[in-house]
Amino acid sequence: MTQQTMKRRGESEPVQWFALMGGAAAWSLHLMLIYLISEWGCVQWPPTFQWLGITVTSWLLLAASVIAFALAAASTWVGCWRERELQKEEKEEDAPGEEDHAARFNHRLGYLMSGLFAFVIAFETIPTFYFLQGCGDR
Amino acid sequence: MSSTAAPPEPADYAGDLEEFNKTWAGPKGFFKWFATIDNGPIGFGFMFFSVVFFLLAGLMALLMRVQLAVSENTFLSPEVYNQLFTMHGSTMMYLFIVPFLEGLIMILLPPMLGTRDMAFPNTSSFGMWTFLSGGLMFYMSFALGDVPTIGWFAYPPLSGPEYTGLGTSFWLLGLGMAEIAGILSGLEIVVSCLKIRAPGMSLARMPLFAWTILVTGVMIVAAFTTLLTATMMLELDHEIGTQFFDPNHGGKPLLWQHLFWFFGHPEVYIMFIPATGFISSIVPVFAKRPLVAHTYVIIAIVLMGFLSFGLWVHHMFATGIPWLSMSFFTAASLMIAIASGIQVFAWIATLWGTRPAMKTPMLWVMGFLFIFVLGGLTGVMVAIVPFDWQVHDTFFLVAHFHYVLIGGVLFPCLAALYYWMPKLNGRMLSERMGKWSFWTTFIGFNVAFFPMHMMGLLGMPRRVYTYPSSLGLDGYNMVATVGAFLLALGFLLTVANVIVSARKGERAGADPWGGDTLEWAISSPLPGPMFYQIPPVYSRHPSWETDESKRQDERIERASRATANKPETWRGILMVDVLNGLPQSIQPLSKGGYAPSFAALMITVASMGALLKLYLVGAICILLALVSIIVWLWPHEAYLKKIRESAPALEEESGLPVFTTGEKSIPWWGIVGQISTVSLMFSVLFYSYFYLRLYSPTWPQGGIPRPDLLMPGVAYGLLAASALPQLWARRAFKRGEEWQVSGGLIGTLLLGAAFIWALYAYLGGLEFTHRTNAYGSMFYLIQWLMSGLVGVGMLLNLGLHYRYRRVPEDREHFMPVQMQVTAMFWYFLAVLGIAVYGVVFLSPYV
Repeated sequence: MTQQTMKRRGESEPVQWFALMGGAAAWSLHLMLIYLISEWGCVQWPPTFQWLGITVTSWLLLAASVIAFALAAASTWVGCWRERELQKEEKEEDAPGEEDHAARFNHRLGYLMSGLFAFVIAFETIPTFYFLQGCGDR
Repeated sequence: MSSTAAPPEPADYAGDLEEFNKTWAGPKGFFKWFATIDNGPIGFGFMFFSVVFFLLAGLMALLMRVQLAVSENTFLSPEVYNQLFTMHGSTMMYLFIVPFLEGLIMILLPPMLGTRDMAFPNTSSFGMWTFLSGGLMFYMSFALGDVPTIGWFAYPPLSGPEYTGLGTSFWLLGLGMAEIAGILSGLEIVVSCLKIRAPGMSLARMPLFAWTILVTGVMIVAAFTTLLTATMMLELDHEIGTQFFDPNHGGKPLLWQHLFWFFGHPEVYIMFIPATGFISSIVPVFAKRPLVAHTYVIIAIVLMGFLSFGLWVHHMFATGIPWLSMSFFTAASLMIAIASGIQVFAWIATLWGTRPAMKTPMLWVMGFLFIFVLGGLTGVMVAIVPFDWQVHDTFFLVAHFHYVLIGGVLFPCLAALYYWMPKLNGRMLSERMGKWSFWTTFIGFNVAFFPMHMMGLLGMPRRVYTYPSSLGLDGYNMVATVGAFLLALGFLLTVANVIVSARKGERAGADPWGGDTLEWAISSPLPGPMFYQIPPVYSRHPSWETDESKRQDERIERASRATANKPETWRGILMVDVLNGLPQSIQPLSKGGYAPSFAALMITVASMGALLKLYLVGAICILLALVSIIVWLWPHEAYLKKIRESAPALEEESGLPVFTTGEKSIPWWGIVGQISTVSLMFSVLFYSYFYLRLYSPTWPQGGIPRPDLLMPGVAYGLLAASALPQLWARRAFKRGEEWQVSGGLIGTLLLGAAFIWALYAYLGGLEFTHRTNAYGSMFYLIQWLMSGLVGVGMLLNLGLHYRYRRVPEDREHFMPVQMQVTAMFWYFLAVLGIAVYGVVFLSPYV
């Protein structure tokens, strides 16, 4: 497989890396944000600091979760889409090149992994809904 | 079963075999242990010394069990009991399992990846000697008669200067040394897994063991850097009077717990994940079929690696953290069961319907499955806050983590030892003794630790030297003590097996088990130059799947052919693309010497000198350590000449560059590793800064005025500006403009010096010191570290400039990458300086 063909198919390294590590990066970002927001928010802001009956801390937590989930979902979608495209193109060829073989695996691994990280982000968001009016007893 | 990777007879090769063997031959005689940088002896050193520490820690465990065998026992005093549980825990956690795994990894990883050595062999040597020195410093406290009583977790204020003495300082410094060894090994493992695989070994074809090691390497760097930063802060509290963890001066003991458990929880997985790699390597070989759900197992490994960093607060459920925060960590703790479950089901499914030969390695694997599942289940139980509160600091937790660490880690390590012993010394371990050892250990382990679940649920606290007979726990304790002795006997049988079999064991062929990975394609024990020819890889199981005619790639074949007995006069390895495993370059490795081991020794003596107030000795040793590090990093001109002479022919033959820059070169990965580590260290410091601020009623603390912006602004402005002449020098270097290069390098040097002068001029005028309060401690520590880093950058520039003027013949060869990595370091310093200015000087105004 020549470099030119690679470019035509868009199997650039950044795309592969995004598919592979996007979910993990999103989860890391999510963990960091929810920890910092809850630690800071629960100490610094009183529970009366609210908007629409929900504490600002919880709003920020929900926003962080939505952003992280979107990032993980995007990574899942990119991996899934590229893997399907490569699969289709491989069927048209006798022997796929080394790059294609590797890229297909990376995308498959990427979307499965990012999908799981998206699920974990969603799961870790559940507690926020129990504490919409405050941080609970300390 | 034939092998695709077995090198043909050396005589068939074009390269001069004698010369090649001479190049790869290690040093001889007793002093070879200090001079060698080969993965084999270094890995052996790690394993040997870690087993010695293990035996010591095991002995301490037995003494504790004797004490607890009956109620109100006086065999040990409370003080000695506290010393023993501290040294037992810290030896097992810091000096046994991780170094043992590192040793085994260093030996096994290169042949498994189809390469000739690890990526940074000098670093391996330095790491091994640093680990040994750290271990000896740990145990210096016995000689000083001041053994720490602070537990392996060393919570302040109990571990602070107020309640501890010199022994704890030695303990902390020893811990720091062991952490440095760990971080260096972690970086080396990551780069080796990513870049120096056999050509064709894409991520898809990388052995599962290497996947586990890759994830472990990343975790080691992240977790150990955090602990290194925390222990540095605690050590400074001890030695120079900083106040990071002293609540009377604005410090927070809970900050230590956050930092410690951010290391401590991943540490368990740092030990467990390679153990799963052993299991995933052994199960398919004995089941004689590939592992079921290979891709899902990789996902589980990566998921586990990441999630393990999201669990640290579950060790702090009893510290008054908001419910909201605790809930997140409960959720993450429950999620990690998914990752473990995927792997357990994959192993069971692989074995399902097969008739695996129940040889000793397989017995240890089966024992692991049984014990680990039990330990894992109790782990899920303690992830739930109310249950955790109920069993917190009881023997239930002792049972849980020993089920995880002995069953989940040590059993796989023993499986690995029995499985790979032919590769270590060319002989099989005795099956008979092995089976005796397994059954004694398995029964002893369960007899020792299962009753502890009940003891914990009945309320027996841990870390207490005795208990009243009225608790009714005598029976459980006696059973546990008998089990502990049985367990020790089981381990000793394996130690005896290793010693006896080393002389009398049955000689093993290259592949006694029918293994699927590349190490089984070469002779046992592993030879000096690991591969005469770097093998091409087209399969996930290169020793099983021999029909490679379907997918041969000319680039891979050409690169492999070009390495046949070559390079002859220098140690060369292939580097590949991270994602697809296609060959990218041929890179030289260092040729070794005494400098790394000498540097480690001098650093140890210098640290001891500082602790014992022998400042002159300390200063001399630091100077000697610096000199030896310079000697270590300084290119050996005669060796470089050999590379320069033979590289053009090799480049033509392989189609790959030798003199290259960027991700195709090893130094680039070295500097990326260093930058990542320093970035992590500063992230931890910034986190600590804001954590202290969050819980301080005023900031800066103690009426200290907010920092001046002008003078530090000038200093950090100078630092940011220092990147520009470096950029200029690099561009001029590409154009071959000699004086501009010199001007740029010297310009950066001068700006760096001006930064240090301006910074210290400002610090000298301040009215508070590092002793004033926690704010002052944090403020000064960050500035000291920044100036130290700039000093390192200046040394790099000095060396580079010297070589640029004195060795002009190297300007087209190695100097481009040296120029690149030095510039990267300065760009990093500029960015870091801006971040420091923002956090330390601007943020108090927000």
